[in-house]
Amino acid sequence: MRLLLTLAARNLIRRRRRTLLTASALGFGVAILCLSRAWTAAMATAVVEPAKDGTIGHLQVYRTDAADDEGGEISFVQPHNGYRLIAGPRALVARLLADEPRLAAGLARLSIGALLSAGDESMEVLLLGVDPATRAAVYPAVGVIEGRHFAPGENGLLVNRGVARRLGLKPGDDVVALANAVDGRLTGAKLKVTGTWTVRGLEAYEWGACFVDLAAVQELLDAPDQASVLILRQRDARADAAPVARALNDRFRREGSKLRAFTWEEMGGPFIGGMLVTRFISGILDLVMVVIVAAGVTNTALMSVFERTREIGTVRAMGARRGRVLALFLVEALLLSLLGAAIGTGLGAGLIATFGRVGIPAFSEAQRYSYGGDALYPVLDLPGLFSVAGLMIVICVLAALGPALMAARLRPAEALRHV
Amino acid sequence: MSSARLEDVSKDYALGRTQVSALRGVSLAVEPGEFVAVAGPSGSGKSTLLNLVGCLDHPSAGRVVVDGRDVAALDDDALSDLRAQKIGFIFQSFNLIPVLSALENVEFPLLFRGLPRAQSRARAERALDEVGLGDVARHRPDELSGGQRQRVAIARALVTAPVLVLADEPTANLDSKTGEAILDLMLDLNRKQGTTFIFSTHDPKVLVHAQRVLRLADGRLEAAS
Ligand SMILES: Nc1ncnc2c1ncn2[C@@H]1O[C@H](COP(=O)(O)OP(=O)(O)OP(=O)(O)O)[C@@H](O)[C@H]1O
Ligand SMILES: [Mg+2]
Repeated sequence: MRLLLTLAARNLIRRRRRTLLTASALGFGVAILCLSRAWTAAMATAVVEPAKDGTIGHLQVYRTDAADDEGGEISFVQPHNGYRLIAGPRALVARLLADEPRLAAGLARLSIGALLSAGDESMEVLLLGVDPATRAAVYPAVGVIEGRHFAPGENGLLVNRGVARRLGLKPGDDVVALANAVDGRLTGAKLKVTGTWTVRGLEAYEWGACFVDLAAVQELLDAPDQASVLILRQRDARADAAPVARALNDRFRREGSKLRAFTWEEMGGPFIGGMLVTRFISGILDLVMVVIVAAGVTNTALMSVFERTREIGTVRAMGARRGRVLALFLVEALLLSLLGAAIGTGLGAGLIATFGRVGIPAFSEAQRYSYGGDALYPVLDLPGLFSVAGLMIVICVLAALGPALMAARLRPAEALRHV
Repeated sequence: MSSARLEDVSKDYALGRTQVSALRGVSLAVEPGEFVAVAGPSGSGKSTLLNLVGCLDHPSAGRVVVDGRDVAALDDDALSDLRAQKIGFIFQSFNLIPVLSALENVEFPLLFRGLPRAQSRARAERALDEVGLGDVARHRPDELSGGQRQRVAIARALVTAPVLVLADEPTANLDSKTGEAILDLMLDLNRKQGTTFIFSTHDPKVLVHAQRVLRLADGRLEAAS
């Protein structure tokens, strides 16, 4: 084994330029893989985490038949006018929280499309009716840029920037909301603007909705003590939501209550979609990178086998079994990929650390959306880095398997005749 | 027991659509301690013959018996082990491993013996001393002259104490004086250690060293001399 290692190492040193070239390509591949992983992870964190903390929540509970009058498919994004509503939502949230220790907080939400008028101007908006008392616990990322949050019973309204601009609103202004009640009657409510809201971490987003007191929306719909959805938050913000959703759904089935819990992944719509597409595309690019690097290693190994055909014959004549020849070339590939992986992790860690400090700037509005701001800050994840490097080493050794097998299968007499 | 025995051995090579008969019904026996030359013009089948005796190739017909074992009955690994234990090889173009020092080259065949490191090192050093190259042990092959390289190759062939050493034109790449010296060395080792040598040559001048000459022509053995 010692002499085998020596032999492999010295053969790599002997072909110094080729070794460095292949190892650099491999290292570059590893570095790019690490960076692309860190980039997608950072993007997911930058957008998905604030979205969970500011609008989606961790779990959502609807009536199973919630959208039956609206096409059947439950949407978190569309207004819930015409949805079948959950009766006694506050009490239900309280019961769920009491029985499920993994849940930390919950709120009842009822979101509808309405016409908002201020003076001569009016526009269609989405009103998100939430319980002001529990808002902070469920939506920690919802903040105000201007003004303040509204208090319970105040009939307050938090507008977004677009609405504030269109209707010329500032804190303290009065507006009127017009909507249709459940029975179709036209209803109205007077609301007082208390501020402009945003989701911290997603300042680039122009939210198309306004927060109002749940009570005001219930009044507009004439649906007292009802909500379209319950938004629940887990104690452990990073924990998988699926087990809790399963537990809740089991409970609903047992009780015979026609309710269904969804995870944030199922209901994340636009936020998750972007992340999934990014992951998919970067996955394909990763695959291309891996194939290119593996092809490079295969090529280097093939050249090594061709050049040393007579040496293989000699070694076989001296009594090396086929397996020994196989090992010889695999060890060489292993050393080569260890070198490449070392270069790659160093380079990758350096790149991620640098970008983590200065940020990857967003060059377009679209990028600002997917970065959740003006720049993205990837985080150095060492175990992730090492697992990429380890995977690359395995792939490269496998890539050398073909040439190594070819070398092992050479017939000694033929190999010795090779010039 | 003969060191090596061929019984009516033939070897055909497929060359495109035609067949080349490199050996046609060769029978011979080489006894322990012999110093045998295989002589013949280019293409007469010398290398083919040595490859068969060296278990590097299989005959198309006939039987090859090395150190009492029928080669046909052995699989690839067993043949490798047989070569490792019983046979040493010396090649026309030395075939040293370029990245290993002279000493490491000599030590290389002991790799397949599983000896402790110190022991294999010591044996390699002794073998290298035996061919008079103790002082260039750390040199790489490209730092050695042709004659020195062939001496390293001889040390490498003998380090495992084989019963049979096969040398395919060991002097063909050397000037005649160096070639003479190499053959003298082989003969010397043959006498001192009793190792059987079979070497091939197409150079009539070096045949004088051989105890016995097998003459090959067109794949057939001529009457022994
Ligand atoms: N692998 C092979 N495929 C096809 N033909 C071969 C092969 N090996 C040898 N031959 C042919 O077999 C015949 C004998 O070849 P061999 O190499 O044994 O001769 P040789 O006596 O060693 O010649 P030289 O003195 O040139 O080395 C030649 O005609 C050669 O062309
Ligand atoms: Mg020949």
